Amino acid sequence: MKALLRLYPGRWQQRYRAEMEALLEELPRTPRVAVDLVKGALLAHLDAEPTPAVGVSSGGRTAPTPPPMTARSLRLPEIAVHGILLSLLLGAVTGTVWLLVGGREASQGGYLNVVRDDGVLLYGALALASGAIGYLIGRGPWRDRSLRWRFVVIAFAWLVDGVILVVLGRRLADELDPPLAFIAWLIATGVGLQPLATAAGAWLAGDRHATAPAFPVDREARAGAR
Amino acid sequence: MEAPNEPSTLILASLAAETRHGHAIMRDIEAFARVRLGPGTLYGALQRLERAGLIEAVPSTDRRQPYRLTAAGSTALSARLEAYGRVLRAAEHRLDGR
Repeated sequence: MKALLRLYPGRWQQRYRAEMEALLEELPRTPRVAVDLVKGALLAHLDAEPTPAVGVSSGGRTAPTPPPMTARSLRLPEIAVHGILLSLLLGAVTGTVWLLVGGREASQGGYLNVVRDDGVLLYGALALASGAIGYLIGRGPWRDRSLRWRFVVIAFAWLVDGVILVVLGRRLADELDPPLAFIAWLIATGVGLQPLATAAGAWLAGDRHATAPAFPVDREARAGAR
Repeated sequence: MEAPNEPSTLILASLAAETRHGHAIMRDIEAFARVRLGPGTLYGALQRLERAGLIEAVPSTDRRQPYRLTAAGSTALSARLEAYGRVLRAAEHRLDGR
């Protein structure tokens, strides 16, 4: 069960791993706990705000405080992970829809021809959508919003991507069987333009370090306590 | 307005009584709210609260890191309770008027 903590971002592990390990030693090893840990890791990766600095640490040792991140120190590895995860999930959703709507009718469904035919338009649109996702995660009116709002933004971008793919799906050439085409599309988008575009969008967003409480009353409370 | 059973509200309510570590917070919330938080959910909420300055870690030699409410956390909890109270009073008033 403790191995699942490796799924969390590095900064998160630096801050919370020791105490979470202590907690897990006291909890039963159940599927529910495992699922909650995986969900927590995914949310931690999607969380654009920085993890609190290490003020005290478990075991009586004082861990080094992480260096302050500058405005454009973007935790690019984390953003790349975001991009890959988002792209794979996006691929699963849109690819399945494509297979159901357009691919099933094709004798040989294929995404490979996209590269030489409609590739510029399709992949360009997907990359732009991913860039917008990265930008909105990193900045924009959603920066101070809760994770729930960020998921809304991401879900909307997936929907746009899905519509683009479904609309263009019938125009795609027929070189591969649908299952192979699906895998090829996952690989092409998962390791292709989308993660890079997501990272680029977040990089363009710049300042990712303004922290704000998720709840207005908390914001007022914090201001009042100063 | 967040729901009263939202993890961050439950954690603030738990820490309003005394300093607690993660497992003690989970047990306390399960006892008073009948809500069982998973470890990922708990620490996600703890991170957000700590980042917002509503709770803080207490120096400890134990691996189990205790947390306590800050002054801002107390104020925030009071503000949330007041908001919930307004809803409850309005609902009771409307029910009485039927």
